[in-house]
Amino acid sequence: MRATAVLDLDISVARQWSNVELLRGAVQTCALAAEVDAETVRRVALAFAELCENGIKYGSAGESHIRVHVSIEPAAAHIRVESPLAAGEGVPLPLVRALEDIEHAEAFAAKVEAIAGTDSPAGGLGLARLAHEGCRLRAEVHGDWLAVIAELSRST
Amino acid sequence: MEALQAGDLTITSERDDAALVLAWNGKSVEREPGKILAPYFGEALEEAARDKLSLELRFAALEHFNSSTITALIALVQRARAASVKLVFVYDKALRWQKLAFEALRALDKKDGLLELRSV
Repeated sequence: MRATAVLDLDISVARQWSNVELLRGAVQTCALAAEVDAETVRRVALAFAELCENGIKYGSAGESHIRVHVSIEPAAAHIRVESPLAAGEGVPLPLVRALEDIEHAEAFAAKVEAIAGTDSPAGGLGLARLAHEGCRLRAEVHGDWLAVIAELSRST
Repeated sequence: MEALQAGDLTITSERDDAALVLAWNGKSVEREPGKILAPYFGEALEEAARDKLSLELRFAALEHFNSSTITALIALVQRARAASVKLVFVYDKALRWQKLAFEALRALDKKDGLLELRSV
């Protein structure tokens, strides 16, 4: 049985960059009001912002909104950001590779080095940063929506 | 140098005998912060190189930056190294997000004396 959430937010928002910071602040405010500890609030807000930024940057340009969900439970927090996919599309290959790349402990520093060394696009740096913060990340497809999910333990 | 004001971010500058100091305040959350920061950094590097100063960026008062800002800082490290300008990042190790971000940037330290990461 799933633990009772101390905070549960489910929102559909316009894919506008300015909404990221507005919502990051709102998540922080709501979590603090729910008496969530400051370190969890910080990590949840960071994960939320990074996933929202990715959802807005890389989601299907034809759609006008993304869906975000934040749940903070006594032992863990879950952040899910859903962006629209073209019909029949799976998890995009760059995202699959980015999720594979962050599975080792030094992935964030390795990504920093890779960007510096190759002038390659910086895609995946935000995910590597979240992994470095202790988030477990995965991607799922539900119908025409791509969900990227971050889970973090509140004890670390 | 003039201060930079861009959205929620303010960078003020001052200088002493050894360094041109850029102090960051607020939040860096632009979609493409490099477009704003790169010209400003270019001006700072030019001044630092001309006057034989190091370039010191102070982040302790910064509330938050996104990962795109980290990319802009990586580019700055490369440009400073190419210009032989010593770059110093000063962060607050008591702020966990700063500690984690800047420790990762240590991967760019080539032990050539041109990059220093200093915690307060």
